[in-house]
Amino acid sequence: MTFQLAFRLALLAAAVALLAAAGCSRTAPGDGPPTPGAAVASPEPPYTGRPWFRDVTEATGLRATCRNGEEADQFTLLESLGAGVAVFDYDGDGRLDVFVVGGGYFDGPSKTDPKGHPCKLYRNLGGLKFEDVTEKAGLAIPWWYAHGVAVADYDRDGFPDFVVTGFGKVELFHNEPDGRGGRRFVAVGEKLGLRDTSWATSAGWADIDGDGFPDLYVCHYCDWSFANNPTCKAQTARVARDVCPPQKFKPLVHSLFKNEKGTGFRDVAADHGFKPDGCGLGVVLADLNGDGRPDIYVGNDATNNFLYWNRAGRLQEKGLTAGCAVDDSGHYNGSMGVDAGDYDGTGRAAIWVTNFQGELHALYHNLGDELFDHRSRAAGIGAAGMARVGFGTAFTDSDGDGWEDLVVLNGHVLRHPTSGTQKQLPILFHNTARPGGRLFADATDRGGSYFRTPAVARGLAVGDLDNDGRPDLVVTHANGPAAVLRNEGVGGHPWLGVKLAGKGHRDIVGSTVTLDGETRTLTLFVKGGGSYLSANDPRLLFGLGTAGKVKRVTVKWSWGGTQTWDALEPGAYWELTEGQPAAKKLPPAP
Amino acid sequence: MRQRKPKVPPAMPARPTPVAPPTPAAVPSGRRPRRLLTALAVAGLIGAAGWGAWALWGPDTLADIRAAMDRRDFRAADDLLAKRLAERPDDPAVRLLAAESARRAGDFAAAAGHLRAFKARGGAAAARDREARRLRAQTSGQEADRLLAEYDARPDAADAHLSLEAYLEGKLRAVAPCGTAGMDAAAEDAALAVFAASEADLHRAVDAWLAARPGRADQAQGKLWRARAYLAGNKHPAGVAALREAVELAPDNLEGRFQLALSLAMTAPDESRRHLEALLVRHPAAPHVRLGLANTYRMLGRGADARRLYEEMLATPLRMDALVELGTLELEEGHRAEAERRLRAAHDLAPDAPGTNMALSRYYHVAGRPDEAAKYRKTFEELEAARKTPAPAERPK
Repeated sequence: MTFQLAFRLALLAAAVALLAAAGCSRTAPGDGPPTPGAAVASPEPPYTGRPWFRDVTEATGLRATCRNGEEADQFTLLESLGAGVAVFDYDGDGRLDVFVVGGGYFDGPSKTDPKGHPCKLYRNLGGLKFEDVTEKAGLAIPWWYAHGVAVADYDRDGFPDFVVTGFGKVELFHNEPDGRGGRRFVAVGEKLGLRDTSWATSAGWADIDGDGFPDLYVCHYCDWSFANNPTCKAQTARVARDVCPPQKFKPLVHSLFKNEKGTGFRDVAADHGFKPDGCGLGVVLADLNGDGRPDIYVGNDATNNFLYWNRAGRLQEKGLTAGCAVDDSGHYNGSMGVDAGDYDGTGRAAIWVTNFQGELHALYHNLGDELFDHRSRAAGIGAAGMARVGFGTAFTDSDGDGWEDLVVLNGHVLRHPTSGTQKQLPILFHNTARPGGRLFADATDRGGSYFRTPAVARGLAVGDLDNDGRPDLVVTHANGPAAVLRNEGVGGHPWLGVKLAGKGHRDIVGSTVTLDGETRTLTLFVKGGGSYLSANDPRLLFGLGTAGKVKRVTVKWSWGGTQTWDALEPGAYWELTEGQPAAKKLPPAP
Repeated sequence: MRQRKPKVPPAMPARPTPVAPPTPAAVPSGRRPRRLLTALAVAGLIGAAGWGAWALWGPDTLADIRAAMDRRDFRAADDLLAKRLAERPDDPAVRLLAAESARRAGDFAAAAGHLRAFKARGGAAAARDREARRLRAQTSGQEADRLLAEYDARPDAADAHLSLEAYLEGKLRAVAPCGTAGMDAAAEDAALAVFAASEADLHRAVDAWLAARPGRADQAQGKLWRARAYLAGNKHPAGVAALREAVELAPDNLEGRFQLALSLAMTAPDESRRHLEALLVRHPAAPHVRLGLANTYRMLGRGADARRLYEEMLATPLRMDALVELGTLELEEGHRAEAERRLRAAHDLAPDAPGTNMALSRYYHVAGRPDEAAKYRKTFEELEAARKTPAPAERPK
C-alpha cells in the first residue's frame, strides 16, 4: 500500500468519525424500552356454560323490599344489619311460601324514632308464582324495626309458627285456621310471656331440653341506642361520617326461651350461665358432636363465637377449647352468617361462618371428639379474597353432585368503605376434590346474572320452591327488592328429598339423616336457625350425583332412636315419620 | 610423443555488469515542509476523529452516572460513582453526585457520609444545604413542605424535580406509613386526619412530576407515588389503578409490582399470585416476594406449592415464619409428629412471638392435649395484650 492510499483511507475514517460525532447524541435518559418482565399469565377463560341460577323474581310476583332507614342520615349501627327471609309451607299445601322481613326507618321530627317497615307473606301458587297474602294472613299490622325470622311449630299442632326479631321486640306468631279454609297468624308473644326488649337479631329453634317442644335461642347485639349513638369518622379521608364499628358498644347477653310445652315461654339464659360477651348476629342449632342432641353455635361480631354443647339439656359453652371461637391466627372475627354441614363426607358437621372484610370466612373442620380446626386456607376459601363482608350463607348442594357447596351473600356495612363501594358481589363456592380432602373452588362466574351484580345483600333462605329437587335461593337486600333465584339444575343429577316428622309433631332439630348410596354415604343435618336472620326449607335434599343408587336412608332422631328405610326411589320427596316403618311418598307439588 | 593442450572450458556468458540502482530524484528543497504539514494535518484529523469517537462511545463517567440516575438505576450509578471516587476522591462535584444518588436510592447513611465529605472538600455551601434539606425531608419528612415551597418558587430550575422527589418521598413516609393495618380505630382516625391535611399537595406534586419528567422510569415512579397517596387515603380502587399503570410502564420494578400484588391480595388473590410469580422469576433473591407468594398459595389452598417455597426459606432470615407455616400445613394434612417438630423449632427461635405460641396452641388442641393448648393460648393472649398496650412514656395523660 502506498503512502497515498493509506493517507486517503485515514482521511475517510476521520471524516466518518467526525460526522458521526457531530450528528449523534446520547440516548435520552430513561427512554429505553423496558426490560420485558415475565408476562403475567392470563386468567382462565370465562365460563360459557349454563348458569347455575336464574333470577326469576320478576316472573314470580314477589315484590318485597327491605328498608333500613339510612335516608335519615343518622349513620346508625341499627341500619347496617338488614333483614331476613323465611321459606316454609305455612298452609300445608306442599309448597314453600316466603316471608320477607321489612326492616324499618327512623320517624319523628328528629328522625330518631325507629319504626317498622311492613313484613310480607307470599303464598306459593305453584309454578314459581307467588301471591301477596300479608293481609289475608293477618300480618298487615304495625311493625317495629324488625330484623330476623325463625320458624318452628312451637305448640306441636302440625303447622309451623314463627318469631320475628328486631330492635326492642320479639314477637311470636301462631299459625291458626282463618275460618275460611286457609291459615292466618296471630301474635301471641305477650300472652305466652315471650318478651324481649333487647336488640334481637338472629334466632333459632330446637328442643334443647328433650321435652319435645322447641325452645328458642335469640341472639342479642349490642347496647347501641339513639342515646348512645356517637359520631364516627369514615374510613376514607375527607369523608366526614360513617356507621360506627361494633367495638364502640358493649355486647348484650343472649336469651334462651324455654318452651313450657306450648303454653308459655321463660328466659332461662341465666340458668345456663350466659354472659354479656357476644354481639350475636348468627345462630345455628344442630347435632355437632353426634350425640343426638342439638347443640348451638353462635356467630358474634367482633367477639369470640360461642359453641354450646348440649349436655342432656344443660348448655356448656366451649367455643375456645373446641377450636371454633376464633380464627387460625387466634383472633376473633366479625361474624355474621353461620351454617353447619358435612362438606367432606366424614359424616360430621363442620361449622361455616361468614366474616367481615380482611378476614377469611371460617370453615371449622370437625375433627371428632368435640374438636374443630380452622381450615379455610386449606380448603381454598381464600380464593374469593377477603375484601367482602359476608352475611346470608348456606351449605347447599347447588349442582346435585352429592357434595355440599357454599353460597355467600355480601354487602358492606359502611357507606364509604375503603374497598370502594358498599355493593359487593356474592360468592358461589363449588365443593371439588383435591388430594387428601376437599377444595372450595370459586365458581361465582357460573352463578348467573345475579352473581355478577354487586348488591348490599343480607338474608338468604334456601329451599326447593318448585319441588324439582334442586335448592333455590331467596335473597334480601338493604333498600332493595328481594330476589328469587331458581336453581337450573345444570348437574342433571338424580335427587331424593326427605321431610321428617317427629312423633306427635315433636321438634326434631338435632336429627341426622344419612343416605347410603352404592358408592358413597351422604349426611345431612336437621337444623334450627342458620344463615343470617333467615330460615331455610326444613326438608332435606340429597343430590345423588356421586352416590349412585339409593340403598338405605337412616334417621338418627334427636333425643331418640334410629330408624331406617330401604330402597326409596329418587326423584321425589319422602315423608319419614318417627315410629312409622313405611315411608310416604309425597305427591308432586310443582 | 605428442603433449595435449589442456582443455579450456567453454567461456561462460559474461555476467551483466552490476548497475547501481537509480538514486531517487532529489526532492526539491521547497516541497519538503508541505508534506510535513500535510502529515501533521492528517494526524490532527485522525486525532480529532478519535477524540470525537471517544467522546461518543468511549467511557464518560459523569454522563453515564447521570444517565443511570435518570433511568433511576441507582445501583449502576453507585457503581460508577465508586470508580470515579477511586480515581478522584477529592472531587467535590462527584461527592455531591454520590450523596444525591445514595439519597435517592434510600441509602441515607451513605448519603450523609458523602455530604460530610463534600463539605470537608470545600463543596459549595448552597449546594450542600440544598442536598441536606432533601436528605432530612426524605429521612424523616422534616422540612418536606419547605421543599415543595422551593419547587413552587422555582419550578423551572434544573434541579427542581429533585426537590419534588424528596418532598414526595419524605411526605409519604411521614403521613402514610405502611398502611393502617394493625392500628386500632383511634390511631387509624388520627393517621387519616394527618394524611388528609397533605392529600391535595401530594397529588399536586405528583402531577407536577409527571408533567416534568417524561422518561419511562420517572413516569412509573410518579404513578407509584400516586398509588401510595391514594392508598394512604384509603382510596383502594384508585390506588390499585395507579399501581397497574406503574407496572405497565416498569414491569420489572420490584417495589411497584410487589405493592400491586399486596394491594390485590384481598380483592383478587389469584391475580396477586400471578404478579408474585412473575416477580420471583426476576428477583429470586427477594425474600419478601418468596414469602408473599408462599402465603398466597396457602390462601388459595395450594399447599404443595406453598410448602416448596417455605422449604426454600428455611435457610433465610424468614426461617421462623416458614417453620410456622410448614408446621400448620403438616397439621392440616394430619402429619402430627412433623407438625410438632416444625412448630417447636419455630417456638425455640422465637418464644415470645405471638404467632409461634398460637401455632403451638393450635397443634396441641388438634392433638387432643387441652392443657398444653391452653398454656400456649394464654401466652399468646398475654403477648398480644402487651403488644397493644402503649409503653409508659406513650400513654396519654
